Amino acid sequence: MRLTAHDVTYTYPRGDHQVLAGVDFEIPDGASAAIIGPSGSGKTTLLSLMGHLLPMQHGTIHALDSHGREHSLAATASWVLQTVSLLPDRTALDNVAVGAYSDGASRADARERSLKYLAQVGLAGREHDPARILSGGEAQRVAIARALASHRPIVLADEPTGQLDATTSSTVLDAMIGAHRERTVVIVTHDPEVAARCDLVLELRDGRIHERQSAPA
Amino acid sequence: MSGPAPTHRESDTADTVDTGSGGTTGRRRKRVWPLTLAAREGAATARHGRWTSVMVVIATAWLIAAPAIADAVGVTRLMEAEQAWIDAGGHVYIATGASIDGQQNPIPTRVCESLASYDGVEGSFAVTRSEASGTLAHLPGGRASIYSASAGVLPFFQVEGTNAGVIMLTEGFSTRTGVTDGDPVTVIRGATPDTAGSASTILTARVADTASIGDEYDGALISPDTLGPEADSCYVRTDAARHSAVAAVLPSLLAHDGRTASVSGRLYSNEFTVDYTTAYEDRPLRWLWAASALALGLMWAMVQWFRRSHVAIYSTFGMRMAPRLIMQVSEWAVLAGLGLAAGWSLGIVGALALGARTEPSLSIVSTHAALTLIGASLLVIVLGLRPTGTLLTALKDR
Repeated sequence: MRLTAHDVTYTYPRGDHQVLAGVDFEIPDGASAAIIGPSGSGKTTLLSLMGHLLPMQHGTIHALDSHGREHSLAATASWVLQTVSLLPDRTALDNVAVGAYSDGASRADARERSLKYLAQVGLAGREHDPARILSGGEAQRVAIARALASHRPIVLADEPTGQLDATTSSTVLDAMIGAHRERTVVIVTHDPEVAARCDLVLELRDGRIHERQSAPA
Repeated sequence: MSGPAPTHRESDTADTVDTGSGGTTGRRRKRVWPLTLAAREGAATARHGRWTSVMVVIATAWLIAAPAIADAVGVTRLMEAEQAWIDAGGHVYIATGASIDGQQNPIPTRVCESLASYDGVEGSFAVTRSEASGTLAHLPGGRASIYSASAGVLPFFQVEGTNAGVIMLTEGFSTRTGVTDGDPVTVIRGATPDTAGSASTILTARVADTASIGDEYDGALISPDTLGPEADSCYVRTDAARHSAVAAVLPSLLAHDGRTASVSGRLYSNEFTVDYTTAYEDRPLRWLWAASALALGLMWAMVQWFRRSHVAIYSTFGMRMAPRLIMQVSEWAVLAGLGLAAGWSLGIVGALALGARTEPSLSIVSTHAALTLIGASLLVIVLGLRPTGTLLTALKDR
């Protein structure tokens, strides 16, 4: 799924500061993009506009398939939030299965997918642990597995590796970005190493994309 | 940018998703969150809910049981009071003839006796003071007054047997004299205190609880087969439903020589005495189910508010209103079902332990439980219909 943004402008209703001022970008189908920038630069605002969390004031953001047809981001994107939110009394497997169910998976398929993605984020063997006993980093990985299990073509992630060590972070990024580029990934991050793993780096400063660069191979 | 700006397609957010990644041909639509899956998810939430589930079950049980117990005990007290009132003659009328120039009209015995066959009349008998007296084997030399009554006096006081050869006495008199059922009683007719035995008959004693007609006959004997066509008074016992209706027709039915009879209740009553039918209908405890249902609804609303982030997870992953409602109702059904079973059992056991009668306890606890659950379930459904946010609402600009 290709993501395009054109002239996206946003000002919070109670402030006179224009957080985003005419942002343009295009993220190709299957590519990964990191949105970086200092605190308050509008990274999460841009992500929220992509998910229709905030009403678009000016400009457009579209998700287009290979035939140029538009799809709603609400239906095609899965989210990984900085604040982990799991069902605390359910197992890790049950939590990941919620993502699979959103794709219409049967129970058996959901279980199979959940085990696969839990393994990909390094949680094989922990599938029957209740979410409430998981550490912050483990819970974050369950949330990532849940997003991946939804099989949605776009993943929007807000600081997905914020609670992970370098090794685990790398494992998780492998799982998210994938070797086969089967999904388009947008990651808001402060971490240069995470940004370096992405195909594109969009640096937000003063409400604009100041730098568009391909990450070093 | 490539091409014209496309428009948003609402179908993308529908309850189905495309499968496959090919062209438009050969694509299937899979239903997201089918209702059976949502129901299973709700049941699983109930099963894994730990303290939340325990709290809901316990609260449901107590909110069913406690008010039901209080109501069942209250109704039992009311029934006992009403029974005591009935036993004391609460449903009994006394009819006497109209008084004219100091002379009292008689009551037609046959009419009085026939009243027992009327709808709403449970029993009736006519009675009059006789000149005869009776002697008791246990009290040599002692004599008791004898009242002549129509045959209906025996069924009126639930005394078994025929009226031939028997004579009734009150329980109080039986206690004081030691005369019991089956003892011989000698009745002397036309005798004076100085002449004994001129025309005596030996009858068999029947002891009866005559509390419903008061203590006027305590110390006397009632002979059920010696009454003539006219009597001093007529006692009529009605059922609760037609008490007033019977009272309305008695004066004319028992009229003599065109003069209506005078009818009064055996027990004094005015606007301050208890009307048990009204007291039962108007008891405030009968409406406690509404308060219980409201309390359960509020508790469920609190649970949902504290767990709003959990609901948001499902919403984020495509669960829309119908499956979300089914999921929440399923969870509620599991927990409320357990609470209902526990509350009903607790209500019955508690009511019986506190002295409530079995029949009203079963009826009241079951009714209260059903109404509480229906009311609370309606609130649960209304709460489930409210729109919910998704996880995205947790995002803040940093």
